[in-house]
Formats: sequence, C-alpha cells, structure tokens
Amino acid sequence: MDEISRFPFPFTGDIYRYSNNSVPLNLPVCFEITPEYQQEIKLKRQLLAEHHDRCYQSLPHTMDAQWEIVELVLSMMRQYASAQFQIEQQGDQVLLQNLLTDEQERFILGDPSSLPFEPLDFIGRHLQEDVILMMQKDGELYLEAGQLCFPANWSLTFDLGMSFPEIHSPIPGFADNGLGDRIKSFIMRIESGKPWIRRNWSLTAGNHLASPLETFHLWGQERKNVTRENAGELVHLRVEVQKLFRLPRSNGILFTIHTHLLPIAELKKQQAWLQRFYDVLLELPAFISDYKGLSLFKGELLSYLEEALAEGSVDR
Amino acid sequence: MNEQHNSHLQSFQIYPNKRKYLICYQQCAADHVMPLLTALQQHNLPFSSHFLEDEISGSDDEWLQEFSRQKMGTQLCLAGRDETVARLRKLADQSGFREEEIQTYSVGRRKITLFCAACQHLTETMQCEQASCGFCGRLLNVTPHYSRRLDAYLGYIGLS
Repeated sequence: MDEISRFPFPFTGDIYRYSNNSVPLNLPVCFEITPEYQQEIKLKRQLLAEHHDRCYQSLPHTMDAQWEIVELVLSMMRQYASAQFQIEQQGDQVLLQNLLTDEQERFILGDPSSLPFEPLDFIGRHLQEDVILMMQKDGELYLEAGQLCFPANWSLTFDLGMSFPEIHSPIPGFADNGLGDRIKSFIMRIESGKPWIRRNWSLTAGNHLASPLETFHLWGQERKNVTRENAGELVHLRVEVQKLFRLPRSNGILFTIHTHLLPIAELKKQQAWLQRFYDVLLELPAFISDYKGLSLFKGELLSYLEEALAEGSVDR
Repeated sequence: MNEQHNSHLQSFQIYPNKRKYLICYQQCAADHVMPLLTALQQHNLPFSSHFLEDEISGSDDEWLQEFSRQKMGTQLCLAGRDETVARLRKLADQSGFREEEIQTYSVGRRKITLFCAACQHLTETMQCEQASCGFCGRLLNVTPHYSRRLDAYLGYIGLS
C-alpha cells in the first residue's frame, strides 16, 4: 500500500472548526504498526537517549497506573499483534519478544527494579505512538505522566501536572461555548473496554516528526522558506491519530498519539482530497491558522494548491 | 504585558448558579470591584467581602482558615496588588478552590517566574512582554500559559 492510501486524511467536510470529533474505536488497540516502524522506533529511542527530560516525565504516584498501561499494551500485543510481538507470561514473570527489533525483554510485573526505565517509558519504546497518562480526580483530568517524542509544538515538561483546561488554555476559542468543558466531560465518561479515536491536524514546514516547543526556534524557521514553488514538497500535512482508553483499576485515561506526515504534493494523487484540503484552508479563520502555525505561509500554499488543482482538472 | 494582563483586566464575571461570592480587595483595585458589588446587590446574589488594608492583610493561617470554611460553590474574587493577589490565590489553591472558582484582578507589575521553552530553566523576572533566559540567554516571549506545578509562565522563542 502506498503512502497516500495509508494516510489518515483528517477532513470530513469543507469547513474545519474545533470540535469533539471522537468516534468509537472498533478494534480496541492503542497502537498501529506501519512500514515506518523501524525508522521511527530508532528515532524515538535516540531522542529519549539524548533528551530524556524533554521526552519523558512522570509524577511519583503514577507507578500503579503505569503498570496498568503495560499490562493493557501486552494484552493488545498478544491479541492483535502476535506476528510482531510474542509474549510469554508465568505469574508476574514476563518475556516480551519484539520480533521487529529482535529484542527480548524479561521483567516482573509490578517490580520497577526489573525494568531499565519506568514502566510507561519502557513500553512506549516498543510503540510508534507517544503515550500519555491522564489521571481523573475531583472532577478533573490531569496530565501526570507521558512519553512524548513527537509533539506538535508543546512541552511535556511544562504541561506535566496540568489540568485539562490548563493544558488547552493557549488554544484560541477552545473554551468558547463550553467546548473545552464538553470535551473534558466526554473523556471523563469514557468507559473501560469502549475506547475512542479522533484525528487532529496541523501543517508543518519540513519533514519533522519531532517538533517540540523546545526546538521551535530551529524547526519553526522553515516556515519562512515556503514558496509557491516549493510548498508541495516542503509543507507537510501532520495528522495525529489519537486514541483514548479507560484504565479500570486506576480510573486513569491512556491517551496515545500516532503522528503521520504527508508532503502536500502527495495529495495530487487523490484529487478529491486536494480539493477538500484547499477548501478547508481557504475558509479557515485566522485564529485557527495562527494557532496551527500556518499563517506565515498560507498564501503561498493556497497559490500552490490552486495551481495543482488546475493541473489536475487539465489531466482529467 | 499582552494577553496575560488582559486576562487580569477583564471584568469579574457573575455566574447565577454560584452559592456565594467571596470578594477580597484592596483600595487600589476598589474601582474594579465596585461594579461587581453593585451587580451582586442588584441581582440579589449572596456575597461577603473583605476590604484589605494595603499593609495588613492577615496571616497565611487566617486566610487558609477563612478559605477552608467556605462551602462548595463559592466563587472567589481577588483584587489588589499583584503580590497580594498571588499570595491569596496560592492559599485559595491550597484550601481546595479550583481554577474555575477563582477570579483575579491585579494591579501593577509583579515578579514572575519564566520557564524557558528551549533550555527548560526557570528565571525570575518582572512581568513584561519579553525577557532573557537567565541560563541560556535567549530572548523569550512571555505567554499567559501558566504552570501551577512550576509556578511559572511559559516563555517561548519567537522566530527571528
């Protein structure tokens, strides 16, 4: 399957606004294995080795919930990805064989001394997804642990410990008409065994899976280099496939983020997507364009898309 | 400062479903509080108020006790000098008030802690639009995004 056929195109209409666009997740698996697995796992581990504080954070009381996530992921590997992961378990003794990386990991469930890293940091190293733990207490959700190697311009170190409204407070319009409250209330009502999935999107100049706030001054510069001529190759549609699972023992939420990047030029292979993307972009209000970081090159990108659409209509 | 100040300059909001309003204010912010008091009286909504002398504003323990005895559904409005508002806000946090149950209005520039998005170090600075990181020296744009855990505002590096 080529890149475009696998790509989770995020737009379902010609107008985009912030909304709770979650839908039930039919296959209850918090990860997905794509052909980029080896490359992304290598990058992830390199980032963790070089910038551990940036990519992994946890509060001390999250260990039980972290182990719960490990057990949940192991059960999903066993049930849905046995061709890639083999798991042998006797009591609390676990042997995890990652056939994709040719690794064997032996550890004891619930015993942190049997792992080289904290449980969430350990299991995340076998998944392409970023993995976030939110805890629910006193009618609020809090970000209390996470392995975040591929963020879209936010900082795990800064956001750790924040409540759901605090995390999202920089998003213009997010709290308008109670949207933020409704989304929070929705997440807090998620039941065990009934996970949800949504797609979120942004645009980025350059092919950067890792675009942390900490290095914005480096990767953000490329926004200034976008022209009508190079927009197709330089600008990428960045889509996060986000999944939400209730953790029944700790009452926490496991939030996984699988990030996909597609050069805009690839959309030319799907003329309907190209048209829809153009329509969305054209109509997008400035406050969303600003937040999604595309205001600086929106004009150039629209010119590129108009040209691409004209070419497409001639080809047909 | 831009948005951070704006958020402090907004009028106090009235939510009809609140059990009670507790208003603590200093003379320097009295002009801002009066419309709130008037509106609460007009709408016949329950409230109590503390007028704070500029120098004498009670011990931390006294304020913790005062905040802790408030019932669920109390909306707290704090108005005054920045240091006073920041101190009372912290005590209200400790007493169990939630983010959405506290409104503040601050007068004057205050000392804030800035989180450097690039090197993650914290720098103390006077409230302003831009400040240099005390560790890596980069110029940071001060944002209204606040972390209670770090007691710091996010400072990010703009594109040069």
